[in-house]
Amino acid sequence: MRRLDPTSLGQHLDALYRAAWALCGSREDAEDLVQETFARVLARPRVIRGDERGYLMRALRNTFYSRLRTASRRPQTGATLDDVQPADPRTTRQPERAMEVGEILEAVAELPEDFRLALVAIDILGLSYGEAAKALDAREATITTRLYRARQRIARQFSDEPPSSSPATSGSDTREGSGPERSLA
Amino acid sequence: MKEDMTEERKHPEGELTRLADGTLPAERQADLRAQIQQSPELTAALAEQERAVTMLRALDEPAPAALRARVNELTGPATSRRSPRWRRVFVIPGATAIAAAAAAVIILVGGGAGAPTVPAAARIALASATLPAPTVNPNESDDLVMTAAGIPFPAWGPQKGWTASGARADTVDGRKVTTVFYTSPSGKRIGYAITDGAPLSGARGSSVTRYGVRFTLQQSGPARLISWVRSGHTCVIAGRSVSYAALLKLATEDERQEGASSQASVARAEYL
Repeated sequence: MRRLDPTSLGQHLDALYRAAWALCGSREDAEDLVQETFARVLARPRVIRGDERGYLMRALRNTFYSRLRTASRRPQTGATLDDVQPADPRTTRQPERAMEVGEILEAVAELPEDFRLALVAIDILGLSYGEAAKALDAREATITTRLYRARQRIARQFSDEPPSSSPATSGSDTREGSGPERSLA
Repeated sequence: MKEDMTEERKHPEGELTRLADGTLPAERQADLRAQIQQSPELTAALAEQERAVTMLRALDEPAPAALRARVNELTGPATSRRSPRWRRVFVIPGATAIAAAAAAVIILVGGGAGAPTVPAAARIALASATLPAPTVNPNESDDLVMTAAGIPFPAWGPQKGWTASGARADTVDGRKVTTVFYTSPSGKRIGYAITDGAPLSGARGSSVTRYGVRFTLQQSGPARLISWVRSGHTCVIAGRSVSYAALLKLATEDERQEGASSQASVARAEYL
């Protein structure tokens, strides 16, 4: 157990921003989510066990759910001019690259929730399987299965090859534990 | 953890997941690769996993400057004014701040004292050539005649789209850094630098493991670079306007060739 050092949190900002984008599916929502997560974490001194980034993942997830609950309680109104998103004001040297990043992260945001969280924790935030399991309150074996499914869907979505009808590549179920293990002794 | 690993053996998709990102224990890899070789279904499944890992771990979109500024406000001195207890954590003594700034300047200019870092090697890999392009080794068509620390530079040639176009030799902090530059038909350029001596520090970023070798992907200004260690020496491939996927393909191809020629690992040979 040790005290969380606020000054070291900045080093996780880029990874946390990408993770937030993959959770929300929107760059603007990701910015708000990351800011709120940092504000909550820094609201008082924290004592953490284990990895700092794992702690932030848990905080990000909790803040994300909290925002969803708040949004669902808010009265729904029709769109106004304020809802129209302006063009991205940031200048970028590589617009194609920015588009590619956005497409991938938005595809991740479309995954079923459990798959998405496993993928965000391990492949986007860079947690170990053990840290991810702890952050997501799940067993490591469950995390690997969810991650397998999540990666499979993303790989297929961005595949250049036409969809195959073979059993090896036709799985579309969200059930955990189905897949190539069936062909092994 | 142990129980989970045992369970994963009953459900090899878990092991495929770990194999794809390089976290499967070495003692399981050869066995699993042998099974994969026998099964087109597993081969396809592993390829999918690897494709996703490469795509996801190469994402390098930084947080917008506005968000960074807002987060800095939260973690900076403004926050410390709220509570004396926080101030002790946040306030950096002036002398320490000045020393840190001075150290940053030294690192930016020269790579710091002691040994060069991966970003310093990458800066050389992005510099101009000072020597002519080395020719292809007449006895080994996959290699150029130029070597560094006993490691030959690859001759990717027109079939892989990257032809050697120049070279340079530098000494940074007493360490020899040898670089070969390659150019694509569209005019893009990359540098492949090999540093003599022990592995360099400063390899930070997401990583991908291929053929048992860990490749680190990182951004340095507008350039992307991939670093890894071969035979105890740091290799860096860097380029501007070149995707991580393209750089990684070249780096892993070079490692694959190295693995094939040296037959260093049974598992690696089986995978090939």
